[in-house]
Parts: sequence; C-alpha cells; structure tokens
Amino acid sequence: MPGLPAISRFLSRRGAAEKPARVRGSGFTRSRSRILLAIAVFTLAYGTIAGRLLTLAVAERAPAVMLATAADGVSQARPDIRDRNGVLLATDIRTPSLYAEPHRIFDVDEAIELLTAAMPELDAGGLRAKLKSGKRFVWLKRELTPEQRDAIHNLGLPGIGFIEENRRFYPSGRLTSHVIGHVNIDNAGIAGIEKYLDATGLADLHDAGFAREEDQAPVTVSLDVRVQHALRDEISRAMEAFSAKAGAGVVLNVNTGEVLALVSLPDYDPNEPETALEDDAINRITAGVYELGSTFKAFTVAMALDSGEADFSTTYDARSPIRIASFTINDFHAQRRILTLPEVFVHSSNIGTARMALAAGIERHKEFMHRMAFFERPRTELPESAEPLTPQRWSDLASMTISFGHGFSVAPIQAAAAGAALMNGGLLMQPTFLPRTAEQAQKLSRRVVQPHTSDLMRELFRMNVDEGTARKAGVPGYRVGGKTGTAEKVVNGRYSNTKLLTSFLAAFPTDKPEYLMLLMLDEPQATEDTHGYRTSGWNAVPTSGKVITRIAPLLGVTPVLE
Amino acid sequence: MTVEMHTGMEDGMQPRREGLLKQLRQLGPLRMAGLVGIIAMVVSAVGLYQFKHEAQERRANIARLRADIASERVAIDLLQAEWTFLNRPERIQALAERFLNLQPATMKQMISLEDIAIREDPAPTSIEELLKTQQ
Repeated sequence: MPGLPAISRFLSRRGAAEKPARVRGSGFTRSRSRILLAIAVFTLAYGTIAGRLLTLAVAERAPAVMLATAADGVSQARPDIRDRNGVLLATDIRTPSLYAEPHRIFDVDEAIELLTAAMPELDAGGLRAKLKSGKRFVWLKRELTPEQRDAIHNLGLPGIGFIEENRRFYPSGRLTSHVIGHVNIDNAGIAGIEKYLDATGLADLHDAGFAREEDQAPVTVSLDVRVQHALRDEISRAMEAFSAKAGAGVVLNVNTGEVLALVSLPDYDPNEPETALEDDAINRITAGVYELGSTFKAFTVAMALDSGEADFSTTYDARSPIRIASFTINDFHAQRRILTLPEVFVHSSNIGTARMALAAGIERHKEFMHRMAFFERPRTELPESAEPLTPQRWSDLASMTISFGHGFSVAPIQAAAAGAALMNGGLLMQPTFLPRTAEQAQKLSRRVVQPHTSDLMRELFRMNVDEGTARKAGVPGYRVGGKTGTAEKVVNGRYSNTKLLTSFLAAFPTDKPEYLMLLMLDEPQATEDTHGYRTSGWNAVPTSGKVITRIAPLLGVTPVLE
Repeated sequence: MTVEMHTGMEDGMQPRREGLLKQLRQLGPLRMAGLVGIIAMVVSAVGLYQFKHEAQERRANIARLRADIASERVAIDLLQAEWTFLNRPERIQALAERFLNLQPATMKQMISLEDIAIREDPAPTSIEELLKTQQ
C-alpha cells in the first residue's frame, strides 16, 4: 500500500494544525487520522458500488437469460418447410393435451361433473374409470383446442393439467409425401427431406436442447406445389382410366437440376405415418429401379451422335430382325427397310438402335453409360435411393438390348437427370430438392455430351412428337418434344407381353428446353379409347400432354402459335 | 394583526434556524460526515427500493409480453397451417369444379404485353388535360 503513508501524513499534518489535537496529545491525532483514513477508504468502496449500481440501473440492460421449461423439451421443434413460392408444406403446431393425476383429485364426482360440463365430448363413464384407477398419471384427452384448454383451465381443478406438445402437421397431406417425408412420434425425421434435415445437424441441435421453434429459419424446397398437384392429379386420373397399378412422374428444371414436382402413386398420408408402411407406398422415382424400354434409346442415339461418327444421314439396316443366340430383336412399329438415324428414333426401331450399339462397340457403350452416371446410385437429398441393376457380363447381346432399354434398370430420377443433360446443352447435374441457381448448378455439373449433340437431340425429340410415336403429346404452342418407352416387365424371369411399364420422357419448349418431365405408368390396360393398344403412345404420352398443358403456363413458358 | 403575527413568526423562527446551523457546524467534520452518510444511505435505500420495484414491474411486463408473443405466434402458426390446409390445390380444384362454370385457360387466351394494342395518342388522364384538348 504505497499510497497510504502519504495520505496519513497529509491527514496528520492537518490534524496537527488543530487546537484539540495539541491539547490532547499526539495519540489522539494518530487515531483521528486513522478514522479519517477509514472514512476515505469506505467512501471510496461504497462510492464504487453506488456508481456501479447506477450504471447497471441506467445503462443498457444485460441480455435476459431465458429459462427452458420442461414443456419445451417434451417435443422437439422442427423448422417449417415451404415450397419455392412459400407455400407451407410442413409445420409444427403446439397442441395442449389434458392429463390428470388421480391421486391428487379430492372429489372425483365434482371433477367429472365440471369436466363434462366444460367439454361435453368427454365420456363420463370412461372419465370415472380413469380418475378412480389410482394411477399417478392418465391422459384424459390429447390435442385440445385453445378454447377447450381455457375452459378447463378456468375450472381450477387440482390434479388436472396440460402438457403442450409439438406435433408435425403436413397441410398438403399426400400431395408432397414422398419428397417431404415424415417424422416419428418423437418428431424426428424418418423419411424424405425431414430425415435429410436431421442428418444435416438438426438432430445435434435437439440433443443439445437448442432447437427452439423461433430460432429455426424455414427450409425452402425446390418443389412447386401447383406443378406437383397438376402432375399428381393427371397421373391419378390416368391410373384410373387405364386401370394402372401405379404411376409416377418427375418434373425437372434442366438448367438447374431442381426437382419441381415428384409424384409416386399410390402414396401415403404423412399425417398418418403408418400408411407409409404399405407395400405400394415407395418412392418409385428415387427408390425404385426400372427397365425403361425405348425411352433409353434417347441415350443410345445421343451416344452415336456424340461420337461424331453418326449424323442425321447415317443409315441403319432394319429390313430384317436381328437373330443372336436364341434371341430375336424385332421392331414393334416394323418398317422393314433401311432407316436413317432420325427415322430409327421416330419409329423407335429396336433393330436400328441395336445396330448403333454394335457400331459403337461394347467398351464405348459402357463408357457412355458410365458417363451418364447410370452405374451409380443416384445421390439427392432424399435418403431413399436405389442402386441401378447393371448387367453382370456386358456381351454384344447385352449391349444391344440395353440400347433399347432392356437388361439395365435405373431409377427414374437418373434417367430424368441424364435426359436433362441431353436437353440443356450437355451438362449432367445431380438433381436437387433444394433451390439452386443455374450458375450454382453449372459449377457442380459435368459435361457429358457436346452442345451440338444436345441441339440434335432437341430436334429429334421435337420430330418424335410431330410425326413419331409421341404424337399425342402435342400441346400446340408449347413445343413439346419427347421419347416414348414401352417396356415389358419381367414376370417369373421372362418378359411378359401383357404386363407393361410405359414411360414418356418429355422436354419443353424444344427450341430452348427449360423443363423435362418423365412420366411412368405401371401395367396400364387397353381401353376403348385406345383401340386396344396399351403402349406408351396411348397412355403415358397423352397424360404427359395434359400435364404440360396445365403446368407450362404456371412455369411461365411463353406459348407460340405456329 | 395578521401582518404583526406574520412578522412575529418570522422573528421567532429565525433564531431557531440559526441555532440548527450553528449546532451542525459545531458537530465537527467527522460527525458531519457521519450524518451526511446516514442521510445518503437512507436516500439511496429508498431510491434502490424504487428502482428495484420498477425493474420488477417491468420484468413482469416483459415476461407477460413474451408470453403473449409466444401464444400469438402459436396461433399464427395454427392459422397458417389451417389456411394452407384449406387452400390445398386438390380442394380448390374440387370446389371450382363443383361451383364455378369456368374452364382452364387455354393457350389461345394468352397474349404477351407487347401484343396489346396501345393508343398512340394516350387518352387524357386529368380534367385539365381534357379541357385543353377540347379548346
């Protein structure tokens, strides 16, 4: 304490100057100076405290600490999920549930009387059984309305209380079930985007107890509910009209890889998660693999064009079926003549594409399929995905059948992504369920075919709708192009000619494609309107046409009257 | 009378006040400091109590507002969910088919803004302009 002697000297000097000090002697002077010193020290100390108190009271408030209550921890909050236009797809709603602690209720009869008066739908008999059960805790009613809660709260009954629970609610119900997925009883995501959100850190937040509703920014997905509805509505109508077992469709933005709509019917109601367990309720677009049949010819033709060895004037001999081993490759719409490359595409000639595959050779064909990512499991945000079924031994025969879409099963989302690459100028990009700009998508993409090949493919798609197998998709003004596919399903190890999977890969507008749609129908039947036919051109194609008529205006595609 | 009484009171009080001051002066600096300290303590205690009381009230108010906000938020969430539920495209389509005599817009009903014929001499937009053209 180097400062103190100086102060005491100063104080004692003052003290010495005063008369009483002189009279009473130096002992008093010393104690007097000590007292003064004590006063000074205390004044300083209390002054500091007072000053601090004042600044605390006057100056800015310290951030308030919020206490988490038990109810916050009961059910975990999840962020809202919205579509690209802000339409709510999934949200948490807080619902109070009524419980009783029977051992704390004094007068059961009075309690029953009051409760049934406040909530007439409560059953007095059941209530009596519950309240007299002697248990420590019983649920009386789950999910009350706010009015009911207030009414019961105002009764002021002891032993009766509420617990607020977060419940996940999907306002659109079945419409977006396969993309958004659903949650389990603890509000943890177990399918679709919900599961993806948990995998990206939400679960950790929950464990740490930090997941509060107000802290969570809504998650926007790339879906457009209007497009989704149009697609689902038309597919379900088509399933009914053609008595199909199932149907599925996906709409992609070819420049960004965003999925605008994904439908797989039958679907399930995410508000009743147990319906997701039904056998048919899988997501066929990402978690199912199919032999897509002639739709695959688009890739074979693209391979031929991209190699630089073929152009529109190249011809293929389709005069007679190809016989190899015990197989015969024949044409459905047999022309029995030499076909040019566009004719092979437009007439969907198996013989023609088989010859294309032979011309390319096994290695080149295999390499091209690798390039289109057909050997990889599709990776999107959705946890549901399926490994493609590829041939174990790639023989000449395998190469030929694969050229027209048999012996090689892929998930429809893969085919759609590859189709988008053929349409957008040659860039293969991973489809995404989250919003993405074209620039971001380009950075993540990979060139698979030359821009020139893409131009030619657009032209072929267009021709196919104008004069080929996809005439019924023609939507005047929206310049639709596409490739049909009718695949025979494998039943007991052999191809069935009655159980078919029809598909249509469509792009629009073909002068500069923006959107691509892949639509599938599982086992469509012939009807009177289709004159006994059940091939793609009679079911999947007109259905796609109807969808495009509905969604093109929504997507801002400008119609052009020719 | 009143004046005399008044002055009388004045006269009577003056010496007493002087006496108090004198007494205080006689206390000496030490006791004076003590007295000032006691007064300061009482004042600060009262002040502190008031501050604290006010702070408590405000805190209660904040808590009440927070609770109100939270319950409003819950209500908004609920209403939004309800609104979206009622606006399901599926439901709107069913209602439209049932009650409206409308059909989906066809391509022929769409034209671009440039195709709309716009008058070359725009119609007057104000009365003044209209009067000017009349003259």
